[in-house]
Amino acid sequence: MENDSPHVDHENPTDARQALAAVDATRASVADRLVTPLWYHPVLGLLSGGYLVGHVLGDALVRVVVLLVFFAGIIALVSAYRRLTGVWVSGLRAGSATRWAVAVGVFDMVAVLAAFVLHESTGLRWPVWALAVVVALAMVVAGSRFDRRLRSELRRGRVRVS
Amino acid sequence: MTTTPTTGRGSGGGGAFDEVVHAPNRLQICAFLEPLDQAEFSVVRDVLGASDSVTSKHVKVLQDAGYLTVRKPTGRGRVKTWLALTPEGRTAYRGHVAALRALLG
Repeated sequence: MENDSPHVDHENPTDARQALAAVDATRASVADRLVTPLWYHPVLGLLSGGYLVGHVLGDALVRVVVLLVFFAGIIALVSAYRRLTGVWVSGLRAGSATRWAVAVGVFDMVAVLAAFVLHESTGLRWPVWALAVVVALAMVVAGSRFDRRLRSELRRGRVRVS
Repeated sequence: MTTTPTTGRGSGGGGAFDEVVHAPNRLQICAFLEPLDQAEFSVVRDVLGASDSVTSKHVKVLQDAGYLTVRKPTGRGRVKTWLALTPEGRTAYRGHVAALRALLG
């Protein structure tokens, strides 16, 4: 088979050692590539907080609009991330970093529910805005933790797409 | 130049050397793509430090073996080529790396 690679003897321990060293270095280069733009998580936080406010305080039409804006925003964010970094790994297949993605998703849903219940039972609007800010901040914090953990997992070879 | 003889390809994930994965550039491509859902061609080329044509040649070998998919989504702007390992490619790569580790004890 023709190729442009140097001759490597797979039964030679020295060649095998070099091949594995190259694998480790390449794995580390994946981690170096996954540098999330600074604006990524704040924008994600704004989308999540905006969705919470619109869903809880808005009428049926506003709810549909914020839902569409939320999903369109997510698609645009992912597209921008892929375009800028040239790589993509799903948050749900990111080794132990996945727990941060799941945790912030669950937290957002609980916050939306809590804001809805609070507003319905008290009529107050400020708790809804306060929860929206908390959701946005949680997204920024969890996002940066997710990134750090993902890079660490990649370097240790513990991220496996099935 | 030719590759060294190996125990063949597609022999599963039981730590078998794989002739297709074996070449250093292709091993690097697999190592880069393995933890990712997909990566852009130019990124893979930069990781190899090789030319477009050399990278394309190795991508084609992996693609022909069913180890890699190539996707060129249409849309606005310059069309980018996205590469992803197939499940067979992941199995072959992991088996090859396991065989290398076994060789070193």
